[in-house]
Formats: sequence, structure tokens, C-alpha cells
Amino acid sequence: MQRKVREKEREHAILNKAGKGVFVAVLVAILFTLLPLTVDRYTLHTLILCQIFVVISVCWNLLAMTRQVSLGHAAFFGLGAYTSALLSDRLSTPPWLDIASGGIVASFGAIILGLICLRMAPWALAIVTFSFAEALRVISSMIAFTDGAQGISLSPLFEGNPNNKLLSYYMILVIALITVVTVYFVIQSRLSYAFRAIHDDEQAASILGVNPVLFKLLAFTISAFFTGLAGGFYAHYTTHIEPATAFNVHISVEAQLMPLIGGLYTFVGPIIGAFVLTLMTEYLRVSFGQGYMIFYGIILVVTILFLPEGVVGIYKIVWSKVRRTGLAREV
Amino acid sequence: MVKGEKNGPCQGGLIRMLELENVTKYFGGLCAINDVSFSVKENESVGLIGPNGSGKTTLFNLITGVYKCSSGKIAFQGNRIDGTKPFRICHMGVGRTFQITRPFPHMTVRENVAIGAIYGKTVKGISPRLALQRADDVLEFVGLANRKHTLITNLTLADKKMVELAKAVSTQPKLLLLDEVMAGLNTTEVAELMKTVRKIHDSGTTVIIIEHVMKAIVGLASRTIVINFGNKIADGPTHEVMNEKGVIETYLGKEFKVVRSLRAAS
Repeated sequence: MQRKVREKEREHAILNKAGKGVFVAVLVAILFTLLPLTVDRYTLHTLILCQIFVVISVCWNLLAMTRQVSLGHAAFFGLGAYTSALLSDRLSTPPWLDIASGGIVASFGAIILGLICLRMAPWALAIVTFSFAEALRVISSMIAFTDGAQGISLSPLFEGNPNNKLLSYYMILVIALITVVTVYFVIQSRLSYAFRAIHDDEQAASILGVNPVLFKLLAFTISAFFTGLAGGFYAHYTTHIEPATAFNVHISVEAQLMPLIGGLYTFVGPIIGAFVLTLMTEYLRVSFGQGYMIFYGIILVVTILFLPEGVVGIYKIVWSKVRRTGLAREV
Repeated sequence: MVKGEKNGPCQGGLIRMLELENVTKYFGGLCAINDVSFSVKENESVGLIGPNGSGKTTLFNLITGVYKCSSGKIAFQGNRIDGTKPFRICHMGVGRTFQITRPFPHMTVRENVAIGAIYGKTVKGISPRLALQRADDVLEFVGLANRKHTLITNLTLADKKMVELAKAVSTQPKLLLLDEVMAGLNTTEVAELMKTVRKIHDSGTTVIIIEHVMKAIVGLASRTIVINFGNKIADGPTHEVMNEKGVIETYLGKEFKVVRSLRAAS
């Protein structure tokens, strides 16, 4: 009887927690909708970069949940960007179609790459993805189809509209929201059980009926799709892409660092990580100029040393202290 | 040598659950399983014994598809399963435990068991809520209900073994392969676990048990197969196999002699 009561309390607490989560999410969404109305163009640009990196970081983290380490997320970003730019430039299709196609092409790239190397060890996959991104960069700078190293120029989003930057912001905000909500539902659904099982012990998972290849491929495809969307948006937003920017190693590196700093394998961690790192980079770059990377490096090392669970870990540390004192009072 | 075909199983239905035909497995030049054939009938409980390294676990790995046979056939309910992927074999109704427990360390006991409930039957699976309910039922069944919210790494060995069993049971297997679930447990824990295994068997599951705890084999298995150096050396009703001279020599020999010499000394 008592146990049942306790169970009910627990369920109630979980529901309460979920309710709080929705409340916070809505607050954050409203904040991000209203915030850009009050800021200058430079800050708006930084916010757009933040949202792009939110998408990439969340996607990378989703992939990492299945113990697949990608060192070349720029490949999917670049695939999306190039698809979007080529469609816009050659066929002058509307931007939303370009961006969507960018996501689709990126996920096809992921399926092909995935089928080849999903049975590999995580480190082998890391090397393959890294090479894949580099190969695409070199190829796109060599062939005429993509206009080589000179890159492709396209007309800006919402051309002629004085508020075009703000509208671009809302566009990437919508993409980021769709990404985050999708990943949230994936984490809440039975898929997360398969992902976590595969992450912990692939063979033991397959003995329990989980098809490792299917779920790893699924994570890979979802991850690449949204990264491709971000790439597609980026091409339109910057109005010019070239191999060196679309397949930039920097993107792949940031994609891993952001979840790591924010909180690996968590839901909010990668989002927080994307904001922290993007804002920090911009701040350091403006304040210190050329040498900012030194400070960037130092901050990263210190964070990883003292917050192994990322920024989200702070909450845990504080919460455990609160709970300890609370328990002490109870006793 | 006792021939399984001659003596026949003492208990069990007529339908052949599992059939192994001339199964051989090489690891490089090493022959781990050499030409082993036997069949298990529905609702039978079979013990599988043999010295360490004799190939018992390899046999389980072949049946569950973790390894591929070098040659020979394995059939489950009339369908060939050698060369089939482990998750497919699980969907067909073969569950197993691992000798060294392999829990998912980042999940609670309940979530560990829920995975089998979600994916044990089909690729599509059931909703997590329903799966967690089923996991609770299974945990109640094996007597771990009070531990369901514990992180798996915080459990004792006995409880980890129970979770391993619960995970296998949660896939609702028709054939359950238990790989040394009693090893490292004390007498009370062994007795508890034996009760649970008997309950599982009584509910209509065919069971194959690898065990070094002879009490468990005698208590649970109606038929016993003995393996040594990858060869099947005996197969028959448990009490007969236990008294086989060959079996005693290869498997129980040393202990037997020590006991006899001690007796002689006293």
C-alpha cells in the first residue's frame, strides 16, 4: 500500500517535472522570438550563428548517443549548403525548397556513408567521416559543376525587405525549433532505449532484439538531415559559399565541442553548449583580436577539467548539495 | 557413452524446439566445437556441463547468432537459424543470459529490462510506458521489484545476475539459454534462483542451462549433455549421465578421487 502511494508520488513528481520542462521551453521560445526585436544587426548576426550551431550541436549529440563519433559533420553541412546553392543558382527554386533539398541530400549522403561503415568501431567511423568531409571539400573545389574554389554566389534571403536579417533569424529559429523538438521526441520515444542500449553494449542489445545497424543508421540519417538543413540555410544567409567555408573543419570541431561543453548525451546540454561557445568566440574575437584562440583554448581545457559533465553538470552539483542539506533536515 | 536418441529425453513434448546437426566451429586453427549434434524438445530442461573452455558458451554463441558456424546446421522450430542475425533470432523466441553479466550501465534496472520488452518481439516495438509496465511485472517475477529504480552499477552480483535473467525473460522467449547464472552466488541465492528458473520452465519455456553448480543441474535439468574439448561426450537423463564413468573422469574426476582418498585416509 505504502509502496503504491510512493509510486504515485513519484509519477506525480515526474509529471510535475515534465510540466516544468514545457513551461521553461515555452519561456525560452518566447524569449528567442522577442529578443531579436531589441538588438542591433551585429548581435542579430551572432544570434543567427548561435541557432545554426544549435542545430549542428544537437544533431552531433544525437549521433553520439548511439556511440558513433563523427569527426566530419561539416560534410553534411556542406552537402546541404551546396545543394541549396546549386538549386538556387542553376534552377532558381524558392529558398525553402533549396533548404529542404539540402537536408534530403545530406541524409542520402549519410545513408550511403552509413551503409559502408556502420559496422566499424567508433574510432574507425570517426576517421572515415573526417576523410569524407575533406574529400568533399577537395572534390568540390576541383570540379566545374560546383564552380571550383571560386564558389557559388546567390541572392540574399528576403531580398529587398528592410527587415531581411530579422526574417532570416526567424527562419533559422524555426529550423532550430523543428530540430530540437524532433530530437526531444526521439529521446522521449522508445528509440532512445535502443540508442542507449547500443551505446552501452551493442552485442548485448542485439541479443535483446535491437537491430543495431537499423538504429545506428536512423540516428545517422536524422543527424545528417538537420545538419543539411542548417547548411542549406547558411548558404542562403551568407549569399556566397565556397568549399573552404562549406566543408570547414572548424564546423566539425565545434559540433563535438559544443555538446561536450554543454553536457554530452543530455537534451539541453548541446543547446547550451552552442550558445556558450558561439557567444564566447564572438566576445573573445572582438576583445582580443588575432590572439583570441589562446583564451578560447584555455577556457575549453579548464571547463573540461572542472566540469566533466559540462555546463549541465553545474545544476547536478548544486542540486545534490541542496538535496543533501534537505535530507539532513528530514533526519 | 550414452546416446540421446537411444534413451530419449525423460520429459518434454514432441515438437523439436532446437536442433543442432554436425555443428563445428573453428577459431583460426583451433576447433572450439567439433561435430556436435543434439536436439531439444519443447518444454524440456537440458543441462549443459563440461570443464572450463570446453565450448559451452561458444555453443550458446552459435545458437544465438553471435558467432557463425564453420559448418553444420542449427534449426529453431524447424527454421534454420545459423547465419541469422542475433536480433532476428531473438525475435523468433530465443533468449539468453551472459556468463559475465552485460547490463547497460547508464540505465536503471527497470530500463534495462524494458529494452527486452520493447524490442524482443519485433523491430517496431511497443510504447515505453507499456514496456516499463512489463518490465515491472518481470522484475516482480524474479523478485527484484524493490530494486527497479536503482542504477544497475549499484547492484550486488546476485542482483546483477537476476537482472540478466529478467532481461532475457522480458523478451518472452520460447527457448531460454542460461549461461552460468548461479556462478558466484551463495547457497540461499542459488536456491532462490533455482525456484525462479523452475517457475520459468513450468510456465512453458524450454530451458538450456550451463552450470558448474551440480546441485542446480540435478535439481533443474531432466536431461544433461556433457561437452569436453568441443566434443559431445554424453547425453541422457541427468542422473544416468552423472554416473557415467567417462563423465566422472573428464569432469568430476579429480574431486572424486580426492574425496575417495580422503575417505580411505579416515
